[in-house]
Amino acid sequence: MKSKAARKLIPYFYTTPAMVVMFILVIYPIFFSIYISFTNMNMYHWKKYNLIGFDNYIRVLTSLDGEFYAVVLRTIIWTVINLVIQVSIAMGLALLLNIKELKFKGIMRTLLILPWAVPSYISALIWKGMFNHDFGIINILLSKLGLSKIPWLTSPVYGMAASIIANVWLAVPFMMIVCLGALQSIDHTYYEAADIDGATGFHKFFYITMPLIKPALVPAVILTSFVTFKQFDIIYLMTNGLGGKTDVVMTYAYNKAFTSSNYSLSSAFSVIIFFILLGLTILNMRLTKADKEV
Amino acid sequence: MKIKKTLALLLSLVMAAGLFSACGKSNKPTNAEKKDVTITVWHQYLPEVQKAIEDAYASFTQETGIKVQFVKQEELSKKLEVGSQSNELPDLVAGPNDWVGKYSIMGGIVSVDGLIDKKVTDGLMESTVKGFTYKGKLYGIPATFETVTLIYNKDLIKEAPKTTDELIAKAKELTKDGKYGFLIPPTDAYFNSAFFYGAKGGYLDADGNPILNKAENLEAAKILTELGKLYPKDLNHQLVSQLFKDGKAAMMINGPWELGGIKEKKINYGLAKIPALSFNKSDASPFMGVQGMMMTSAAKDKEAAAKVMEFFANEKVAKALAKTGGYMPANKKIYEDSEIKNNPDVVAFSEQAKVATAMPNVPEMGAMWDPISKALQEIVVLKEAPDKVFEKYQKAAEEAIKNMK
Repeated sequence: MKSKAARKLIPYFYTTPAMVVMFILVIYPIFFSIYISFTNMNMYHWKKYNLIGFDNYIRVLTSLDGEFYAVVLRTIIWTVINLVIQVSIAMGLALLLNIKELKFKGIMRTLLILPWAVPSYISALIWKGMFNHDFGIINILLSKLGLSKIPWLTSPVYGMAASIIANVWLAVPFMMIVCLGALQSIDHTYYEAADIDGATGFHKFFYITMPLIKPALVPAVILTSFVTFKQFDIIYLMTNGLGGKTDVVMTYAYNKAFTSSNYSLSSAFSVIIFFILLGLTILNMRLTKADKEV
Repeated sequence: MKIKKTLALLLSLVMAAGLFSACGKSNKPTNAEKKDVTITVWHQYLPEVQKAIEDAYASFTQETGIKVQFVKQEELSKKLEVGSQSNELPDLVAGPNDWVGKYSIMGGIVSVDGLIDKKVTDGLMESTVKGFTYKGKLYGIPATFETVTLIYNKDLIKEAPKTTDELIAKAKELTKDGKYGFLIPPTDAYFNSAFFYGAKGGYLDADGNPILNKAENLEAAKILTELGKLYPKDLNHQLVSQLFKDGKAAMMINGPWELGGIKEKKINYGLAKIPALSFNKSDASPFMGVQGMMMTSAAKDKEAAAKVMEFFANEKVAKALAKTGGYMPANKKIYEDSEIKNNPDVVAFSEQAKVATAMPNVPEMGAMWDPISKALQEIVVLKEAPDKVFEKYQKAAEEAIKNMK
């Protein structure tokens, strides 16, 4: 038998390859960009750059005008709307797929997961085509139904709506799979017991299903809220910011900082966005935890 | 159990090893050997174009003994950026002229003033040489250029309009029954440049200061607003070319890259210069991208590298590029060649190039695309007052440029 100490070390040994990968691909870049944000690395100081302290942060924060806060607010609204729609649709679909008597479950599940498998920029471009004012299928269908055409990609409000539709379509499969997995893990004896007690479907959903799938759902929601908050390709490719009127944090940062090849300033910007996200996550976790105790 | 563990271990080791193997294979420029020099060139041409260039260089190597090695690089501009910092660069790079300002400041490429025979540059179109001149110094040898011109469907419009007034009138007349008179991607700074530079306004001055609020730009905006009223909504590049290829658009402004698709659809097309601006009688002047060869800071044998550059503008290379890649050569002599003289497409694009504006090579241009595109969006698509919009984005552009430092 191996000694206790050796046994304790084995897990670390096994995780070493993954740790090396994580270090090279995740941890090192994060710390490097934090380091860069304190230097003056840009086009004009490319080969020789040095530490300049908090100058970049001061520049970013002082140059942030009302526009930036509007963008942050818009991003939060965008994230919330997306999450609400995503979770409700995903839950609905998962509940339907979870019906025992349902036939062709496999095919339906595969079809519903499909959007997830398509690279998001391709989906974005396809949706852009479909939302086109005069030649897109959506407006053609609308006018066939006798409704007026909607300026999807020209008006900021509709541009946002179009982006949300495309993003929901992209993100629902992931949420649906999480919901479905959680639903399938619920022991059906609970429902049988509830039936004996005379519970309605409504009761069963809110008092059995919801509490039991919450542990699985919360991490998925937090994860998705990150992805949605940081969403870039959908908005950028579909509306291209519509002159700044549909910009979210990432597209704003891209246009503001990244097109200038000023790496130190962009890094400072990214670090600030990182802290905004961190704050929102802590808030999110607090809220969901508080919810749990009720 | 044990087998499983060893297997898992092995697999993870293989995965980790795979990670490093990707890093090890970087294409380091091969250093010149002791006796015969080898010059390495990074480029992003297609393989068949590379082959043609290499064949053209065979005679060069025979004459001079200088070997030239062409290495295709994906994402060449990123590699150049990283390479300038770590000094891992080839001797030469082939790329567009708007790299000049940026990479010379970053220390990636160096001036070739005094290394290039003046006879060579005299044989090239002046506007293309200008494209590689930055702060009065020559930074590269132009080989080819591309620009946009007026492409029209002869079945829908017999003769191309000569002035913008005619263009607007024709566009109005022909936009009906699901067909369009004139199309251009409305928010693209490159495609719309012809009118701004024709109006003698423009995006940037020679020192890299934004000039969006210059009064002349309002004249260009007037023309674009008139034309913009006739565009379908949500117009973009794909839609412009699709409508033209479907025979639903009489005229568009586009580049040589579209001709293949147009021929395939058997559209009876013609090329003409973009109509001259009616208000000042001057030629429309679209942006012209120039492709050429530049010397990096890592070039050891500068004389040999300069010779390789000079040959890149040579007729042999120019012909190879024109034939295999459909490029428009910068070498003036090429246009005396009967084969090229009889190709109306090449002649039309070279005519347009004579009045074109070489793409600004100042690094500030990189920060301009976004403000210009937003300004065009508000003026042409959302139909807001141009003077206010230009003032707004003049400030945005100034801010963006300030952020570069």
